[in-house]
Amino acid sequence: MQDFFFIAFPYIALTLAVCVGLYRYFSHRFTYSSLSSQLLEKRQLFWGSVPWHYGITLILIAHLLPWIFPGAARTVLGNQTRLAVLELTGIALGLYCVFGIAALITRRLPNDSRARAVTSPMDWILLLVLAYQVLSGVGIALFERWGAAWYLSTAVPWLRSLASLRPDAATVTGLPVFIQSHFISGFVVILLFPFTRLVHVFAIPLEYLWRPYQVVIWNRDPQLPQLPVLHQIAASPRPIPLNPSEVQRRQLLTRLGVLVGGISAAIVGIPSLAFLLGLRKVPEVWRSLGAADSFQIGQTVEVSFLDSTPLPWSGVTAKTAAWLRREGPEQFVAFSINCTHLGCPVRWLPNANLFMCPCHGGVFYKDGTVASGPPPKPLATYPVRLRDGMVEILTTPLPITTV
Amino acid sequence: MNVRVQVSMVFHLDKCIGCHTCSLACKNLWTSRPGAEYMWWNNVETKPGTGYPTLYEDQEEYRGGWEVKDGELRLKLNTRAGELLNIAYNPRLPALDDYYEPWTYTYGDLIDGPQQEDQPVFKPVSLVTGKEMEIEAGPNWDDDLGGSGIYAANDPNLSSLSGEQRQQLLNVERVVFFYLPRICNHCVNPSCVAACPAGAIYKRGEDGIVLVSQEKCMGWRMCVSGCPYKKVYYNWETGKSEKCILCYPRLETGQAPACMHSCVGRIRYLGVLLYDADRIHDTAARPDHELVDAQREMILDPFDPEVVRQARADGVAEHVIESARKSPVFRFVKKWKIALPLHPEFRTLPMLFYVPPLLPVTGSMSEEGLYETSSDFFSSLESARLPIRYMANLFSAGDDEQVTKIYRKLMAGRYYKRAQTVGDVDSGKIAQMLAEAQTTAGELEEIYELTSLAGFDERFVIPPFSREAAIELVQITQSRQEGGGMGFVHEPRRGL
Repeated sequence: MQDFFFIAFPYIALTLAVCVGLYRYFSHRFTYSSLSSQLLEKRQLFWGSVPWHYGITLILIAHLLPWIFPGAARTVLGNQTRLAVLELTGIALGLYCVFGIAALITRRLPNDSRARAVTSPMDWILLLVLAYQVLSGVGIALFERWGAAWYLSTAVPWLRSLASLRPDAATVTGLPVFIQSHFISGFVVILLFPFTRLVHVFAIPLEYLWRPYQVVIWNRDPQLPQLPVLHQIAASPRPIPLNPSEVQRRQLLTRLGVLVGGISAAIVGIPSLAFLLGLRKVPEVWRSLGAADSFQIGQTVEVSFLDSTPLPWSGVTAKTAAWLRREGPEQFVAFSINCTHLGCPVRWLPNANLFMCPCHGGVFYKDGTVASGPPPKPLATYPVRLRDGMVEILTTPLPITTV
Repeated sequence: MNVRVQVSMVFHLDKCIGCHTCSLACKNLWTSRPGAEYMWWNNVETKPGTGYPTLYEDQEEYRGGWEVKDGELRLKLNTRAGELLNIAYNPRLPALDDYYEPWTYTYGDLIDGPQQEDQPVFKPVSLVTGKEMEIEAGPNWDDDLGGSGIYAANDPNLSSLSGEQRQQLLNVERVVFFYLPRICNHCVNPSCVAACPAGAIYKRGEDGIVLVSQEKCMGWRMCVSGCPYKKVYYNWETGKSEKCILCYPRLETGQAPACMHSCVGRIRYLGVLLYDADRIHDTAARPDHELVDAQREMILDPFDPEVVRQARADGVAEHVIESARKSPVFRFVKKWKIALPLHPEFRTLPMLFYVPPLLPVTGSMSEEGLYETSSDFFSSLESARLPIRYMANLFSAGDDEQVTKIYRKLMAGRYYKRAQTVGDVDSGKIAQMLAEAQTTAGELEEIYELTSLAGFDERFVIPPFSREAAIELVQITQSRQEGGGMGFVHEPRRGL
């Protein structure tokens, strides 16, 4: 039974939503919108429609983002304060939605209400399902606290497994029935998409933001070379044929242009976005610095090692330097060579027992703490370990310097 | 220069008798359907009056049309992003009560009612809810109530009149009104098109008719707010917006639109105007007092060889140019300059023009109780019963001079014809009036001909559309059959 609700039903709902949705768009375009009743009844609609639409949009985004970026969500929610703020915001938005849908339902209830006159049976079903969905959502937020956090370890893996076509409902089958019902009714909403006014979600006219204000449509295409005007046709013995390949070539070129543009945008855009969202992690690798015996106890020497992901053509630029000191038979410490002020390479002065920065006179003690000058923080250190008589260093990304 | 064609109209208000035949012709043909009962694509308003829907001219409330802000022409309604943010609830939409709740009567009760002492009666029933209702408003609820303090006094066009002038309008002796028939203006810079988020409203390139694509319309209702004339209506039954289509199926078959065809007073004229599409933006962004002249400049002279050459280059068919030369609208608007657009300050460049009414006869009761007309037979501009200022607020963005010039010419025409037919005006006075009006006897004769005598074919000069041929030229039937491509292809449909 659980398999039906959490594996079969979601796929059925999604398949129907996509197939029937497309069918309705292409063959019943006229119906592909939401039947507004604002003309008939306006005052109550304001209190219903505005809270509902703004509230549910934000809540939907909050549900979708952790599903798409679970790593980022985990990082954001790792902090107790942020979790509490998000949780409270969520509850507030949920209550905002409940208020909205309550107003939307009550305005259609009275027997002589004009809005009721344009309410179809499907509208009632949709309103009830949506009302259940937001009420159960608020209930979960109130009685099963920190949903923002446990969502990541229960629903998200399940939803991702559905998306990757390797369905696995193990993380949700053990949840209380109340929570499960919220998931199932969520898919009922998806199922209702193509059969109700909900289709208007996919008709939001973002194109309006950039299209020209005026729309002029010609029977003839003004881009085409001058068409023979009618009296000329009448006068000429044969109609002048229009070259069809002309039209097709232009269409093909337009489509090619869009395709190439789209690919280049993706090549540039996807890595940039991934970087901004913190999705790309630099791998950490242990690099050998040489035999332990080659370092003397108490001596500080400059060592260099390869980055974790050197490119074949980067040569010497793939190397990073560090100051390594052997403090005991098995104790090593490695300092970053970059000053914490603006990143100039610091020098070790053995006579003074100090690191000194040549750029702005920053001075660090032997243990890396700041002695004087502008640096705000002690020198960063790398983890070092001894393995099979070899000294190894972990290529960690260093904290960026202060500016 | 980029020459475009506009099928446009002139309404001669002096001849309108307010019979509403136009409204009914339109209603019977197009809007007697569920959801469209309250739509009056053509309506006739009493002015001064609040219009339909009530106070539609108050753009501080409805924010229709355009405004110039920091030298930029922008929609008065909202920014593009602002419009999208308001998409769930349009705060500037008139409600049904600003029009009226459509109703019918329980006529069946007259036949099926039980036998009783009294005559059976029928009750009003709402066409929206199907329930019994109280009738509180209807179309033309303020019909003929020009002097009414309840309705007419609220007319937004009276706002710039002095208190004394407004008071005069309510005096019984001076009570005055005229009729203002309105259809969609098929503007050159339509704000309904610009406000439509779905891009469903468009202007036809070949004739300038503005239409709503019922397939593309998503019912966001921004066009209703965007149109300052409130000539786009939302069909609450289908969830789509609808508007006057200038009877294009009739025009394409060479017939005049139903409202024009049926006009009893023969006040309506229809013909082609050529205009310069490159000048649309500049014209619409001019300061208020230059708008009327700028729009006249934008309209091109089809007798100018340069214009004709460019029109041919822009693909205007020869017989359309020919039609533009015969256009009565061209003569009223550009040649004689006696027709003005309604509310040019909305900056949509409306293509329906009005010849303002003279409302001449001023009579009063003498002390002996006799009815006397004033000594000046047709009265004078100074003693006009409706202040020039009011007309200027309607037709020239408050510029009195534009209206005065037209009235001088119309007045000169009346005295000139009276001198001809009755002979009680001396020739010196006629010569003086012609000079003041900067007109000639020849021009006045022409105006008289077109105003009073013109027959059907002179009033409605409909260009041949030949749409069937135009479609045949660009839609290659063969390529449809062979290379229709993948996906959902609409088969070309011909005929019925």
